[in-house]
Amino acid sequence: MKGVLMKKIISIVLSICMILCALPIQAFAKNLSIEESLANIVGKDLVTPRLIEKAKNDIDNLESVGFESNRLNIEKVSKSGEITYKFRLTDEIESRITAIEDSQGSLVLNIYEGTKHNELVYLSDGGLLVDGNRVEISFEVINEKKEVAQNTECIAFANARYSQYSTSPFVSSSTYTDFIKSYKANKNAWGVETIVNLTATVVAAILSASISGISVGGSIAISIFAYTASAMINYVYIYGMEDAYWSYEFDKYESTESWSLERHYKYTGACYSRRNQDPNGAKFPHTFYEFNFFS
Amino acid sequence: MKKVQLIICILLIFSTISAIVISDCYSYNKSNPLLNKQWYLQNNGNKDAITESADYRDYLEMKCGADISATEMWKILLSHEYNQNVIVAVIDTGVDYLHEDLQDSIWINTDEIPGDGKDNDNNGYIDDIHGYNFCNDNANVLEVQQNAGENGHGTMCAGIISASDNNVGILGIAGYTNISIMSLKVLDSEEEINSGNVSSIIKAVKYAEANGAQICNLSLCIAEYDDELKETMEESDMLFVVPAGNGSGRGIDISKKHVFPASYKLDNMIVVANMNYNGRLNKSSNYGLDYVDVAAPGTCIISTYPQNSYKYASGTSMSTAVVTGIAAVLYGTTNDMTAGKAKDLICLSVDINEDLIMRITSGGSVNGENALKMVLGFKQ
Repeated sequence: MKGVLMKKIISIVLSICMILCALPIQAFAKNLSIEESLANIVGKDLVTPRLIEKAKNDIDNLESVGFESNRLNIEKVSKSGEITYKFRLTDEIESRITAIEDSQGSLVLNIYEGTKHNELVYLSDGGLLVDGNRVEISFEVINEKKEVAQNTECIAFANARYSQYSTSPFVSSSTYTDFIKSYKANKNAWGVETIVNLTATVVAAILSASISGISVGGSIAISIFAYTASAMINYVYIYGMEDAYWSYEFDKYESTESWSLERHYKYTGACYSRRNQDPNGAKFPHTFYEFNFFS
Repeated sequence: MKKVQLIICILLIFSTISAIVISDCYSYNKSNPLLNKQWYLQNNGNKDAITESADYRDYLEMKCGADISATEMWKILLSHEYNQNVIVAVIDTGVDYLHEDLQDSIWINTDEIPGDGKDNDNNGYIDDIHGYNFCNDNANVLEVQQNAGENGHGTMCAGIISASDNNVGILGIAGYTNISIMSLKVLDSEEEINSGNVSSIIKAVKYAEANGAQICNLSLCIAEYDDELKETMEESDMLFVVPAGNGSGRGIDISKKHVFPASYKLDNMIVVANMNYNGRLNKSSNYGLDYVDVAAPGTCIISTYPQNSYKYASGTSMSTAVVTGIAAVLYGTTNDMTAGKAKDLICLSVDINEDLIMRITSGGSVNGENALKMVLGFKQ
């Protein structure tokens, strides 16, 4: 009788111990997906802490420049430990990416899409290189709302807010009526002789890097520009390059449903196949939305 | 067989109890209910602290120990007898000085009679009880979140620095210090970001110094170099804590592309980068071996928000407030602290970090415990 009781007690205690021991592991359950992904590719024994750390750092780096982590998957790991990621730009377009952060702080991405390959370098001075050519990223503000223009002497950026971007409005589309300002970039370099050689992911990344400067919430997600990028490449494929530069213009509107804690913006405008928004070239209209908030 | 089972059982129980005891070593004073979400004070590796923040990334690990060692700092501080009054100017969007967690640490200008429409203390400003609003040239510095330009930024910085140990909300880094927050409003825009004039910032700095502030928290960046602002800061005896700035997505090296005031290179100014909860530099944070002095936690930081609420925010603004809090603690322990000494103490007491060593002058993230030990060591 005593033996049976002891067994029951031991059984209960062991069960409790197992549950308690499992608790801290559950806190890292989500991280295991990276470990599991790596384990599925290289085998569990070869998944080192260094490899896991590299994967996490790569994903963090990619997300910082607009590659959404929920569109990234680990695809393969080379013998030297280089990780290749699959990035789903759209349902039809996927690219393969490797990422290296050099000692100078630059982020070097090699992007493969079908037979195309481009090198994209995010420089530590904020610049961008495409296959070794520097992209001119600049914009000017025009037609600023009167009361905002009074404060042109200085801009202080708090930037302690967070932004989400989407091609769909976050609140009723009819509420984005309060004009804020217009932005123009008259001379952004293609970076190469023709963008036909560029992957859609790279063109979308260039657009994201160029246009992110007009928002306050960090990098605009690259997938926002997926269809514009594809349309631009297809246009050049058919008609050829019309200029050594492209340009863009965007008007910024705020929703009447904005308040200090949650701000809603609409950016509507177009990318142009020629500099200075030349109407003789091709125009690629584009609208996207920003939800800016404190979390 | 039974003996073996019993031994295994005892070992398991022992290990479980040990695990619980070890994790409890990092437990906080539970009187502030949101303290367990303030990972930057004492990081025990528990992600539950930040999952509600929009900047939380499930793929990044929460690194135990990546924090400012606040608990240990407070232990030393509370055994120390001296508690000098410290006035910290928060030059920002205003402060909700009625907030339940801030009302006990708000600066009061005792030489001024509130609401009488007179400049009783002859300091050039009428009814400046808690500070001054340089945007609208009046004494209204209350951030109430009803005006478009008031987005809580100043109130959040103030909470990180000074929120009281009062059984509600959070605990500020200098929550045990005899601290007063002077609210100087210079940012008040109807646009999406806070904007203000450099001339307002200069006036605010001069006001702060004239009215006894020892530390200025300037969680803002300015688009262009301004000689007058630089001179005003340089000639001041106050300590300025400023952000390295946030990149437009990815942070930049400000040695290559300057941002201000971070690139002024002043002996009485500490430039702060944003350390993520994984102990690494946040990818959005600017950096620069020649200009950025230290890193401090600045990601998923919970703090006070107008109207008795609490929010998370991320950015070098938050990191700046963290360093200001530590500086306030140091100033509170001695009456002979200077800006230069405080800067040296904070920079020399960092936790050296392999990710930061090539990007930040000190090569590490701030550690309040180490800094405080150095102050007390100096005194002995």
